[in-house]
Amino acid sequence: MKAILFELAAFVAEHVVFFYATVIGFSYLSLAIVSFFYIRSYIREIRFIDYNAILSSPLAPPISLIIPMYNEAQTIIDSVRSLLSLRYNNYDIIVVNDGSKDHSLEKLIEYFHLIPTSPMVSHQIATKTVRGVYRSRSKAFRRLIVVDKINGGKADALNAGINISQNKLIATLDADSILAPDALLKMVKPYLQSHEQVIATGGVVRIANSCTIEDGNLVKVHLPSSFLARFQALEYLRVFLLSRLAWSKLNGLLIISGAFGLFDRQVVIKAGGYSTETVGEDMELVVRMRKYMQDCGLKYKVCYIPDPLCWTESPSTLKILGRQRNRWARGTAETLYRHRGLFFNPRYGLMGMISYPYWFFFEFLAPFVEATGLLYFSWLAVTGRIEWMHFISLLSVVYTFAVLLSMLALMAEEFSYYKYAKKSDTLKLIATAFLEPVLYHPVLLFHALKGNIELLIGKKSWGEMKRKGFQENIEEHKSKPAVSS
Amino acid sequence: MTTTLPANESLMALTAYSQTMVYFLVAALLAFFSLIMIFILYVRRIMINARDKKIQALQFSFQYLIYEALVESQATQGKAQQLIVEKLKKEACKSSLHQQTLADLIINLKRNFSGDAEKQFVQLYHLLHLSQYSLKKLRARRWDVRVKGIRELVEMKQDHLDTQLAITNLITDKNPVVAQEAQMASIVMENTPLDFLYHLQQPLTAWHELSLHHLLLKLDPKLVPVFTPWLSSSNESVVLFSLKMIAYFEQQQACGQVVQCLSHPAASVREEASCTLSRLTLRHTPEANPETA
Repeated sequence: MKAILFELAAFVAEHVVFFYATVIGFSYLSLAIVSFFYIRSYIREIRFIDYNAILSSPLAPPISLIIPMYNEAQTIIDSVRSLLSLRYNNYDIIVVNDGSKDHSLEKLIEYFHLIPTSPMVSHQIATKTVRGVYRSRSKAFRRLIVVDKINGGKADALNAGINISQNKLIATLDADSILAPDALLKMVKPYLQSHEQVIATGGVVRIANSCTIEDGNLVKVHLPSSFLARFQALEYLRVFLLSRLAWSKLNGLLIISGAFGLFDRQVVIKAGGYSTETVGEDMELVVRMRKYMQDCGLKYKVCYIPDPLCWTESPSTLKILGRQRNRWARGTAETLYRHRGLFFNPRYGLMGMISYPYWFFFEFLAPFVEATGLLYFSWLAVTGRIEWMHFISLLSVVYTFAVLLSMLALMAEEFSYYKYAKKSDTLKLIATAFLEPVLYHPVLLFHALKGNIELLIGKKSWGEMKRKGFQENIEEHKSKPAVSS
Repeated sequence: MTTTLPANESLMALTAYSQTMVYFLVAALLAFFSLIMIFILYVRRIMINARDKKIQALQFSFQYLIYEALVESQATQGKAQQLIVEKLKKEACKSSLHQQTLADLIINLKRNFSGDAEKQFVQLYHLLHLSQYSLKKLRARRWDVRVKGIRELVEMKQDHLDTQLAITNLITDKNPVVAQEAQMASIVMENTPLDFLYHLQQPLTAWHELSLHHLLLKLDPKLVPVFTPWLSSSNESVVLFSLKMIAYFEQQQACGQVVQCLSHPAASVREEASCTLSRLTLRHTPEANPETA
């Protein structure tokens, strides 16, 4: 009887996992195909777009760029200086100091000649106490508003920025990220172009490690020199160019990266603003905004554009990477749990019937299924039941499929923005694609599982993210002669 | 419980073996596709570099001939020019890359000149039958080729009747980018700009409004029409756009019709009409105008 039960369990495990892997494989491939078509048509279209029309137009919508800041003294001055020179006519920058313990605020006050003001603040979203609002005495920095508040986390800081903003659109940006000069022009385009209301737009986020950065501006793109950052560079290409673009095309996108996103301020407020109860506030907000629009019976869109608009510093050590992925896993699980009512709920259309189940089965459950597979394999190995040829054949399918996906991402990059133009960079990325499933993926799997377990035992912390800072990149490249591409 | 027969065992072994082989085959296929992609990545770079080099070489030789054609035409009253034009025509006929490079070069040169030199480039474009080449693009299957054709014709001021007609036909193109481009072209080429607004079925997007406004700013102010005829349009977005333009171009003569819009059935129109009126009156109060004060 025991043997029969075991055989039955083994049969179910093998077949369910096989079915799961097949469905996930086909869905990845389908998304990649949709992305390719979208990128091709987008690249054709932007050849004819005159972004100067937006730049000089009084009809361009005003935007508030909100930057939450917590202990960013190392990079904040350069970041703000770079943001003040963005190519957009009608925007302001709201830096929200979330109770930094370093000298971030003092540095800003001194450098930008800030003085306290008393602006009109609409307290439409509840936040921790705002200690003061500062504006510059200098006309050159008239766009800059600095808000000082008691520490309440990233979401709370963003909410304070939303309260201060008077504009129709808000863009959120991480303090350690760098924007392309025309980022706002490009991000606002889907908002202007669509017949339906666009409630949020995202752009492709790229890894800035090893890039040459001067005065907070990206001067030259380099492939990260460290293996860890290079793995992440490839991962970002895959996620943004193959997955998010496709979901955007299908209008089923559930996340806009916290690093950079553009939102309709009124919809954000009506949906309740960023949640301070989760560590995955970026995804949670998009899901809530979509839910709000569906509940109101309003037509809407969440867009993603393939332009590489935002460059961010990726974790440079395994420890920090672990914290980040742990947080992402908890954020996903929290959001899915909080909005569990969407699961296969036809009332929410594509979001309820496809997007949410996809995230549940293939983003949330994937680490568990993988871990179960590994445990099952280990047990088979210990008890000597493994048919090694069969195992190797299955393993080679999984491995080659992972490599194929990375190759598709490299193709998408090649046919779109071609940022890593050096031949040696492409060769390095190809080599990375072959190593990633073996060296990098297990690390991600471990931290995703750890994150979910910690969520179950009630851990809520954000996890400290130590930054190397872009200054070191400049030093790094000053010591190395730059090779022209 | 059933006992396992040797025949069954061998059948199971065979199934397992064939399953393993299928997996290996799938893995081999996936690896093959990956290798093809690596090959494409490599070859594409080589092809792009080679194409760029060829275009550079063509531009260099064409630039020399164009310069000769323009200088010699002045010296020999056009006889030498005719010869050079014939030579350029022969060159352009060699391939579509030759033809496109020549067209792009003349368009770029024309952009950098004004007055007589500009006219000469336009004339050269016509003499080389490049206008026919651009016109042919309007019938292309690919929408981006159609848009490029429109851009070229507008840039080179090819405003003959047949060209205008071909572009007007594209105003209702299924592709919104082509339709918008044709509408923009009609503003520049025709004497009655914005006529397409009378027949517009689709709502204007904010992008569309912004592009139209950007183009109207480039027009001679005398050619900017008074927007009152479109205030009675059945297309709500057209009415909204007209109200915005009346305010922007300060068309005081439209005040009466704008007032009528205050009783429009759509709330958004009533709101915009009120904004327009306040902007028009604010700009013309005695305090705001020192001359009348």
